[in-house]
Amino acid sequence: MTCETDDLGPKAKQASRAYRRNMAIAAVVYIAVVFGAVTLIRHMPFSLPQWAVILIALTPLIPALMMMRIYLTFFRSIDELNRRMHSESWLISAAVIGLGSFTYSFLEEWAHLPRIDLVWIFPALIFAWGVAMYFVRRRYK
Amino acid sequence: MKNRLKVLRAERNWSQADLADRLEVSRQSVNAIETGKYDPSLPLAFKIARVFGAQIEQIFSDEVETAS
Repeated sequence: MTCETDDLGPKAKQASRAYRRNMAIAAVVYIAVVFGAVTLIRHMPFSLPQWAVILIALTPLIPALMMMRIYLTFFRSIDELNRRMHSESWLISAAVIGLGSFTYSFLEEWAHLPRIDLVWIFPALIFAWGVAMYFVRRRYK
Repeated sequence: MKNRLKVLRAERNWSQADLADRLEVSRQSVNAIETGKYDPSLPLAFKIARVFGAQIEQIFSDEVETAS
């Protein structure tokens, strides 16, 4: 989730720097945890019990929740217009990706279109948010 | 909602960035309020009134902006 530091409000400029730094750290931790989890699950010399696999598969959730907290802290620091633009963009993104994935599931089932992994939902949400943000920002210029 | 933000700002020779700094908001917010694209919240409207030393109703009116 990107942010333009020059037009967020003076208070938010400082918060924005902290946001970028903390998000970069959280992203590095996330990548490390995912690689660690994949290595553990796929390359263990012995097979892990199901509960252990589930536990390891859930570990990337920890840095992901860290990222969510960092974003929420940043969101609360920006001014009301920027908060509105962020919120509107999330709403559009949720509607487009939610309805899109829901509709595509019918196409997968009935028209036998290729299966799309659930792992793409979150990146799609962020991408759609970015696109929506571009148009929403233009409305208030 | 109509407002006199641009006039009041011009009277004080403040740029949009100057006013944004005083209000602790972005310059884009000041611009959006001035052009009527965004109506500020009540707390921000009070803050604007304080910055200009005026009453809210001296700055904002509930007349609808009509496209000319």
